[in-house]
Amino acid sequence: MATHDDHRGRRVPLRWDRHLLGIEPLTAEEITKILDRARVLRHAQITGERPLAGQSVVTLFYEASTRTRASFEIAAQNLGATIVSIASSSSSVKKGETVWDTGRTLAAMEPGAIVCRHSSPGAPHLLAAAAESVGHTAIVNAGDGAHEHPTQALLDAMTLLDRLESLEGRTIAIIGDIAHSRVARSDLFLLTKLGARVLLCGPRSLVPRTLESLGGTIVRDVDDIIPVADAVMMLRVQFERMVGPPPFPSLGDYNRTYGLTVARAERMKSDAFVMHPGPMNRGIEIDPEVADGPTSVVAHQVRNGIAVRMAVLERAVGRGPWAGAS
Amino acid sequence: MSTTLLRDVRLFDPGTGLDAEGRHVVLDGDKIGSLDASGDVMADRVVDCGGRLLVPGLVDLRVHACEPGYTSRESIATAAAAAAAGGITTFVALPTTKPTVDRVEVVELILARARAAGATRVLPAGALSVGRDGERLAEMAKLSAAGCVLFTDGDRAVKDSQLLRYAMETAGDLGAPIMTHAEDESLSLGGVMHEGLVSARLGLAGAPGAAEVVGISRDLAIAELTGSRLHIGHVSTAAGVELIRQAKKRGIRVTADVSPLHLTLTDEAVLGYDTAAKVFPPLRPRHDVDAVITGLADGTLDCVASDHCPQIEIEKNVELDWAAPGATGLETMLPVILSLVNAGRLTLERAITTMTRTPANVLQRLDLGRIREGGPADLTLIDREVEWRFEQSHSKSSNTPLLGTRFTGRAVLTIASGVITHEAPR
Repeated sequence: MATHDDHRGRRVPLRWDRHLLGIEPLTAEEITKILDRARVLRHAQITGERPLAGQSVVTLFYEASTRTRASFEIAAQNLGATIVSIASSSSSVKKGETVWDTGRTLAAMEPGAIVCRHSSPGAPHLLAAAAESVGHTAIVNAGDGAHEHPTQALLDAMTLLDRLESLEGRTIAIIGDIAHSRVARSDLFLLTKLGARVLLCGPRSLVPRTLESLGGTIVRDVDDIIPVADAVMMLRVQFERMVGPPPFPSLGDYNRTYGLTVARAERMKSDAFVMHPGPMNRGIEIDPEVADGPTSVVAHQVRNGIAVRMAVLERAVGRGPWAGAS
Repeated sequence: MSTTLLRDVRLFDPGTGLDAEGRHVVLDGDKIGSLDASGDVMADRVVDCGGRLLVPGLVDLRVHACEPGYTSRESIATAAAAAAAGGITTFVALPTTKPTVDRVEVVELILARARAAGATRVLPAGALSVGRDGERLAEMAKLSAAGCVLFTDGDRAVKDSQLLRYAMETAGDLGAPIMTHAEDESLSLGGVMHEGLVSARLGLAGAPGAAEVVGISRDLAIAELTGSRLHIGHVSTAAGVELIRQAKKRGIRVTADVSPLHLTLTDEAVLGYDTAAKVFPPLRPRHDVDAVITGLADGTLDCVASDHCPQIEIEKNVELDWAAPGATGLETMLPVILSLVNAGRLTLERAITTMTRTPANVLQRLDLGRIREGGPADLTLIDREVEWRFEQSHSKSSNTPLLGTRFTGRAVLTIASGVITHEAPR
């Protein structure tokens, strides 16, 4: 249960379930409900319905982003909401206002939802606590450090289900820097909730054994995974989250051991496909020929992102299938 | 000279083998006059104690009193008030001040503030290195003469092993112990909590227990090399406890303490990103918590120390990555340890010893932490039955995951040098 400190320092649990702080607290039913709604909205994008007309959506990004911010803003626009876009390049602690105060200030203006990205895990929890202390605005996590990126996992699931119909008994491989990846955590929670087997692979320094407690199975040899996976998800190495010496000898060394090269991609199951949450580092975790090849569904992932975020915003504001919910 | 009669106590000092019910104790000024007086002797003040437990005043080896330099968090006076409320009559003030305790003037300031604050004994710890920067030794002889009882760089590990060796040799010549924060800071770099299942789940950077184990191992090797006395602060790992156990068997002169939080809470306290549970060293998994309890029970760990570390609200109500580490602990140390006694994890004898006699011994203050006629009238009366909730702190800060916790048992009367420093409303 999420908690925060109020002004007297006592921890108070969050009260609302309209926030989307992560996949971990969601049930399989709720995930399916969001995905079902996203499929409806994907086809309804052109019908001119405006369920969020008169609402505003704030995008509050403390960390740089192109695709996620654009995707959320297009989703909000499609729903008829007005968008207030706030960027903060530096940590709130080092410069200016705290997340707590920003959250209280923005929530007091009563927007429908605040979409937040932050480099620090748990920042959306703090923002949600701040918002609950003054109003009724729901918080949507657009990525918090290495913790969760729930809408990415939802769009990944939507993409997988477009091809596989069900995830029950399917094998999904996630390869790369799992330790620093919020995408990997959210995908791991979501895919296992929907019945998939998730195999994790990468250098020992970036794929610690403790990750198995989240539901995945670690396989050390990438060549054992490639031929058995129904989908292969490649992740980049997130040097920006590391301190101290590099955790492996070189990028060339990394590519040799873990990269999805043309030769490796040829050993995939005939109907298996390749996913990547972006941004991609071509020639490191994935060869350009594979990234742009026929097995890649990267563009499809991006398209699904808008539909998923429309559903998530409806849920945050209490519209669509969530109308009437508190 | 004023006299006080403490009527009807259970006199309890396991170190001297004292456990006697129905005693009446007379205090003459700042000394204990009689431990076996009659209940109707004349005294200036009579306190009816209702058969409750009277133990030596508690001695706390680790308090960040924050003065000079960080008085928005705490002052000597407020730390002394919180200590008294927790049954503590003596505490060591760590040199985590600004300026640090590397010159005599700062020692004098702390002692002056302590005198002004009242009867609680505040014993300054000197910095091990100038500015606590780990580069050259502080002037230990001068600091010792001014009143410093031990030397430490506080919550910073001494990176340079040669400097630590010289520090131990210098302090050894002065008869003072070196207190270390044992950690290999390159191994824990960037960590904001314990590296384990919980950090993996929360996506927070972790500091492995191995960072402490490497630190303890190095510090023990230097203690063996120099033959000087080493005190290791806030031990939190099972492997660390085992290293100290083996070192003691080999005759290395080492003592160690553990904080109440590390004896009770696991790293799961951080779930929900609760910054109150961000402490240093980090809260560890159950396996480590069980090992430090066992270590305290079997004597491997000598003392409980509060590790009282106040932080103001704006330093805690931020992203966990940026939140200042530390928790207050003066008022909750005794209640937490009594809860371990109530749970059958620690005997009452051992519990009281670890907060009285053993920390006094680390300081070589053989007058403190025990009860004897003619000795200092430093005493704590404990009500083991009273149920209460920790809500209002005497400290300036209230950053502890234990805020709001219900406890059974607390100090109801604290006497330092014959002066009542705390009396719970009855």
